[in-house]
Amino acid sequence: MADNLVLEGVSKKFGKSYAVRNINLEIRDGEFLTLLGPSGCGKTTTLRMIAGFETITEGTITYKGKVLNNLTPQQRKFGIVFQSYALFPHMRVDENIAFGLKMQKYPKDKIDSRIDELLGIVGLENAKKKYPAELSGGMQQRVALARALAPHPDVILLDEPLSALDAKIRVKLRAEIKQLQVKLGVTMIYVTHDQEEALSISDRVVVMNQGVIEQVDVPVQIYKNPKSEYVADFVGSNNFCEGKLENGRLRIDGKPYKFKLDYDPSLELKPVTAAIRPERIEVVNGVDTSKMDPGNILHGELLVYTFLGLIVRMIVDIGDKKINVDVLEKNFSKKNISNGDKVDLYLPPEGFITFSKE
Amino acid sequence: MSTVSVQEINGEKQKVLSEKFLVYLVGGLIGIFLIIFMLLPVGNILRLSVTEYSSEAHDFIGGFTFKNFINYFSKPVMIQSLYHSLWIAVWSTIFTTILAFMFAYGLTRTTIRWKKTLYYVAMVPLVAPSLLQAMALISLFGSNGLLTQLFHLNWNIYGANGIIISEVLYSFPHAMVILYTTLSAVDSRLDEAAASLGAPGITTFFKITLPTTKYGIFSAAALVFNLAITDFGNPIIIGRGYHVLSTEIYLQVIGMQRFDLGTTIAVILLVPSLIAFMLNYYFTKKSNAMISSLAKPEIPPTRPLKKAAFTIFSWTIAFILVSVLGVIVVKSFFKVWMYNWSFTTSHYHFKIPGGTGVLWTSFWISAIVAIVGSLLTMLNGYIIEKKKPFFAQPLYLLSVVPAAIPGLVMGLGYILIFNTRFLNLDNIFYGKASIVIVNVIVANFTLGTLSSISNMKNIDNSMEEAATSLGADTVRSFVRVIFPLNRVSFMSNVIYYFMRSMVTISAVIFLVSPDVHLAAIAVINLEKDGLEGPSSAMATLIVVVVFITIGLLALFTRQKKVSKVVDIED
Repeated sequence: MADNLVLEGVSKKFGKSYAVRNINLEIRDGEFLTLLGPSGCGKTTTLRMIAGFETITEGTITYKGKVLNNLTPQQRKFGIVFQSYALFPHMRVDENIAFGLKMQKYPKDKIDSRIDELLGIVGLENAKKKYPAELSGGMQQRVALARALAPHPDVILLDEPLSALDAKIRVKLRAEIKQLQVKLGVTMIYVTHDQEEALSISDRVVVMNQGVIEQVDVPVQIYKNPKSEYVADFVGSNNFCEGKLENGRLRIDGKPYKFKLDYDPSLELKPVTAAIRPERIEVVNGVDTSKMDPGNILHGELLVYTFLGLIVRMIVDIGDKKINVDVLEKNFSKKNISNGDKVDLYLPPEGFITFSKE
Repeated sequence: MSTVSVQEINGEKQKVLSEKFLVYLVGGLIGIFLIIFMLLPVGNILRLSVTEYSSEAHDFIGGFTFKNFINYFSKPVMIQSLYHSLWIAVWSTIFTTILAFMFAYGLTRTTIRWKKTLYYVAMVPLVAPSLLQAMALISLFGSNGLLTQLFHLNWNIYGANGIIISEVLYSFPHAMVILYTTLSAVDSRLDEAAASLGAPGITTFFKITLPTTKYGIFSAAALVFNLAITDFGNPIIIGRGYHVLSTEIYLQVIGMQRFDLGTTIAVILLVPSLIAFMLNYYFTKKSNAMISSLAKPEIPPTRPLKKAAFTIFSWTIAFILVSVLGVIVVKSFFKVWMYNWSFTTSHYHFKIPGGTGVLWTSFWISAIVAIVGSLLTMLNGYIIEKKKPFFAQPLYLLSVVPAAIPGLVMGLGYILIFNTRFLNLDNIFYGKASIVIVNVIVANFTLGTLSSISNMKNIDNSMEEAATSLGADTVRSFVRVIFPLNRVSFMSNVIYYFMRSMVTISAVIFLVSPDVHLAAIAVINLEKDGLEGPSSAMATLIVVVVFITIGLLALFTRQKKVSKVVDIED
């Protein structure tokens, strides 16, 4: 069986309410899969069911054809990395790493060589005899990773492993985790609420919301082709408007807009939500707009702009609505616009995504 | 990865079952232990208090009756003990709470110096039996007291006033600890915010400081009330003719063999003590909910006048608390206090049954109590907080109740049940050291369990999950992870149990026998016989033993200093 780990109709009930409902998921051998969603979406519960810390109310989890439901965490032999690191504070780094090896009765010399090997992998050779409290957060999380990897698990489960760290270390460490995963070929299931983190390291992303899966796909598709309004909103940012599709255009009740856009013909005359990402919108001040559909051009006033480094986020007031527009910083500078200035926006038809309201 | 055989899976499954079984077994045994040694003896007292008694046969002759209670409440002399108890408890509560609050306020909210020293000095009363205060007061202010004679004072320390002062001195550290915790846990930035909004110091104190710490204050007050109303040592020494409920129980049972009145008064004492305990418990919960985990800001320099006032106040209290102890120590080395001021060590040659050996008996009993009690309460806390079996709630309830039961009532319950053929336990318990050991363990089970639970709460669940995911079973994760992480709290429980066991009087006064003599009981007997030199000597020895033992244990527990390294990696 090519699939490492299979979740079939998995649900978890706490009392009468479902924390996770009917999850179907196949995790491939050697894959880096991320469960992404806001707090309370069921991602951690799902991970804990895979780990064996939560019982499964309905459905089955199988690993290489073997049902895991009734096995204890010890028997599943998955490596786990916790958000709080959960390093044993009374043990040195080497003792922490050795713990799992001792539990599985590795011989002494093998334990020693494995400790050194892992410290090399995570780049902490000098911290071998230190206690966790003597290490920085980033170093502690590396020890936690080494400890989880030590007994050669086929699957590593990571529960928001980086959320307690500073932004800079977080970015650095997530790249390291990814490299390690590729190098060791180990399957990783990673839980995070940080969409940027999820998109940047995953082979596939599972977007979860209120206990159910919204979409499973490779990062680029999650971003470009969100399958639901929820995903479009949660991943990246988007401008939304509601209306009805008619003759290739979006009409909004009581408003003059008639956006031309591309959509699935089956949605004709149906109420929809349309979304367009801020970076798809163009600022067309002083640009020849004759080739553009006049229905897709909006005139507004720049309320405020925020410098975000590579890009500038503009908030443009078009009278009854505020629109987010992202432009490259160098382009923004060239346009020479400032707060309060008139801005012309072009919303290209192919930039829209539509979601049926039915 | 190789496929796991069916047999292996069955084997693993059995292991899981046996682990669950182990938790049930240990938790169940602790529950049964508490039922036999707490619930049943106390329940038995309730039963006996409504059982017909024959004062000729000195025995309960069966038959349900309210006669005992009617007897009690129809005799004005009897009813007086209830008034007395309430009177001294109320005043002790008021004085102790105010003094302890001011002391704790000085330690937490002002910049007076030597705070650590003051804190530890405030704890001194804990190391002595609760009759030392009365002994010291009599030595200083009694009709033949040092200060009475020196300044020709004309007052009467015996009776209600003496008891109240003794109880204040005795319960001071208990209240102080609670108030100290509350005051240091409630965010003092609230005070700063009020000050920055223009509130003068006094307004801030009454509008912010007091309201934010009120639950801690109530909880301390309830505890003091409980301590004062159940105390036996101080009232019996300094009360003279002023009888309170606890001394009345003792006199009825030991003096007159009136077990009917003994059990009845025990039930009457149980009521206010239970109420006070429940209030204390309720307010402690409320108070904990207000605790902020934010880092504490530096206290701004206190105004000179305020600082001077708190310095003088704190050192006065400290001086008094140390003097209580000091007077007794000094007294033990004089031939006859007030009459013959020549130095002697003769008081240390005890002419009592057991001689100096009583100290040794107290010591080894306390050592067993300390180790067994701490282990039991730690396991109990672990099972209740981390393992949560289906009976976790009832087990928790059973574990917190002992603190509500006055030691004297529990002790009476023990002799009344274990002098019968109840469960055939009389052979191993009646008149033996074992009954004392079990009694002291049970009587102090509450604090041990609560501190264990709160410590278990502080251990992140993921700690044990990490151990589990790495292949450790319950026993191994307990031994290798949970126990080491509990080492410090375990040792402080050991110290607590040892201290309580060395100084307790009321719990064990009914349990000593010709075979088992305890040091704290020897102090009370010597003092009652007017042998004030030897009683002071014995009290001094108890204090010395407790101090040395605590010192050694503290040395053991000392935490390794962990240096924070400069991080170059990130």
